[in-house]
Amino acid sequence: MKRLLAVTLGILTAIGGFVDIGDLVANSETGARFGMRLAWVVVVGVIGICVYAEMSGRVAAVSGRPVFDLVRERLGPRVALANLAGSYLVTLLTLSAEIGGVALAIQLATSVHYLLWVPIAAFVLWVVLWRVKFEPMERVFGLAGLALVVFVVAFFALDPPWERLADQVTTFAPPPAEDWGTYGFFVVALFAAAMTPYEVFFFSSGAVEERWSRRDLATERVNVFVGFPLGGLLSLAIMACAAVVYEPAGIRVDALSQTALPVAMAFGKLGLAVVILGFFAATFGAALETGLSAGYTVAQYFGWQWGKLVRPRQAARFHVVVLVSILLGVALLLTTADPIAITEYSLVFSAVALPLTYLPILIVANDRDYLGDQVNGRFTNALGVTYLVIILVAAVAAVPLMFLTGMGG
Amino acid sequence: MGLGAVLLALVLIGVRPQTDDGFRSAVETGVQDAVSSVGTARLAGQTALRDGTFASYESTVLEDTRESVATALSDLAELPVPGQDSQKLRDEVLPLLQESVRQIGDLGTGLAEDDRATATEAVDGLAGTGEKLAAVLDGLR
Repeated sequence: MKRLLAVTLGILTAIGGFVDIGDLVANSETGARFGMRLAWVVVVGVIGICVYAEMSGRVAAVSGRPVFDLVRERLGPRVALANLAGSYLVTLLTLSAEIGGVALAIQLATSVHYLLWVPIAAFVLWVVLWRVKFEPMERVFGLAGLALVVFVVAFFALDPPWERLADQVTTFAPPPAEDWGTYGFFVVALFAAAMTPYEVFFFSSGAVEERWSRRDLATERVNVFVGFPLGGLLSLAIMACAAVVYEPAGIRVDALSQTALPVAMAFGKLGLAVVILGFFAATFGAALETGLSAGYTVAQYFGWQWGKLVRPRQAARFHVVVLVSILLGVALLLTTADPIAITEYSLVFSAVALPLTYLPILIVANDRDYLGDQVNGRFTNALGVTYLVIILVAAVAAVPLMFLTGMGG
Repeated sequence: MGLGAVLLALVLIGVRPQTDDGFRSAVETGVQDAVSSVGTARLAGQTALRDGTFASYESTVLEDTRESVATALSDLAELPVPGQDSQKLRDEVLPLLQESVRQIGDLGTGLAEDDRATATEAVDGLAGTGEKLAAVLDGLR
C-alpha cells in the first residue's frame, strides 16, 4: 500500500512538474498561430524526454552517480568544461525565465507590475531552496502544478470544433498565413520545451538525492512512462485551448495573461483563479528545479559536496552557486528584458545545448563498466540513436531559424 | 580593411532610405500586433462583462494590450514614408490604431468604474475596429 502511494505520488508529481514557463509560452503561441498542426511535435518531444530521462535515471540509480560527474569522467575535463559552460548558461537563462514567470503569475493575481515581484519571488525561492527538504519541495509544487489540468477540462467546455482540429492534427504543413521558416522555428521551440536539459539534471540528481538503487528502477520507469506522457497531455490541452479561442480570430499570443483567458472564458473567476495557481506552481516548481540544476551541474563537475541531503554548511559551494545563479537570473530580468522573450531565447539555446548532455548519457547507458546488465537493450538503443539524430538536427537548425524568422516573426 | 568594409556595409544598411516594400512589411507587423491586442481585449472584455474575470486580471490584460497597440502606433508614426502609396497606407492604418488605443482605454475605465454601458460600447467598438484591422492585414498579405 505504501509503495502504491509512493508510485502514485511520483506519477502525479511528474505530471504536475512537467509543464514550465517554456511549455506555457510555446504551446499557447503555437496553438494560436498553427492550431493543432504542431501537436505531433509535442508527441515527439514527450517520447524523447521519456527516453532521455529513463536512461539518465537508470544511470543514476545503478551507478549511484549523477550526470555531470559521469560526463566529466567519460569525456575528460576539457570537453566536459565546454559542456558545463553550455549547459549552465542555458539553465541560467531558463531559471531567469521561470522567475519571470512566477512574477507574471503574481501580477495576474494582484495587478502589481511583475518587476516589483521579481526580487521578492527570487528571495522566497532562495529561502525554499535553503530551508525546505528535497522531497516535500518536489511534491508540493509538482502536486500544485496539477491545477493546470483545468486546461483539459476547459478545452472540452469550450465546445471545440472537432472536425477542424482533427484536420489540423493530420496536416503536416503551415497554415496559409505562415511560412515554412516560421513552422520550422516553432517545431524546434516546441521540441525544446518538452526536452529541456535541466529536467534531466534535476531528475538524475534527484535520483541520487533520494538514494535510488536497482530496486527503484521499476518505480522510476512508471514515473517516466506514465507521468511524463500525462504531463504532455497538459501541454496539448494548453495548445488546444489557444487553437480553439485564438487561431480562428488570427490572434497571436505573446503574454501569459492571454494563455489564461480561454480558461476564464470557460469557467469564469474560479477557473481563472485555478489557472493562475497552476501558473504559479508550475513556474515556481521549475524555478526550484533550475536553481538546483545550476548548482548540481557546477558542483558535480568540480567534485564538490552537493545536494539537499547534507547541511548547507557542508555543501557551501553548491549553495553559493545556487544563490549566485538566482541573483544573475534576477539581474537579467531587472534589465526589463521581457520574460516571454527570455523564455523564447532559453528554448532556442536549450535546443542548441541538448546534444551536449544527451550524447554522454547515451554513451554511458551503453557502458557495461557503469551499468553492468542494465545497459541499453536493442530497442532502447534504436530509439536513443534516432533521438540523437533528431536532437542534432534541432540543435543545428535552432539559431539559423531564429535569425531567419526574427524569433518566429 | 575587411572589418572596415563590414562596418561600412552595416552603416549603409542602417541609413538606407526606406522602400515601399520595407514600409509595407513594417505596417504588416504593426497591424498584426494590433489585431492580436484588439482581439484579446475584446475577448477579455466580453468575459469580464459576464463576470468571468477579476479586476487584477482585467487591468493586466488591458494594460498589456494597450501598450502593444501604443507601441505599434508610435513605431509606425516615426517611420519615414518612402512614397505616395506608403503615405496612403499610413493614413489608413494610423486612425485605426489610435481608435484601438482609445477603445481599450475606455474598456479599462468602464470595467474599473463598474460602468457596464461604457464597457459594452467599448467591446462593440473593438469588434468593429478589429474587423477593419483584419481586413487591412488581409490586404497586406
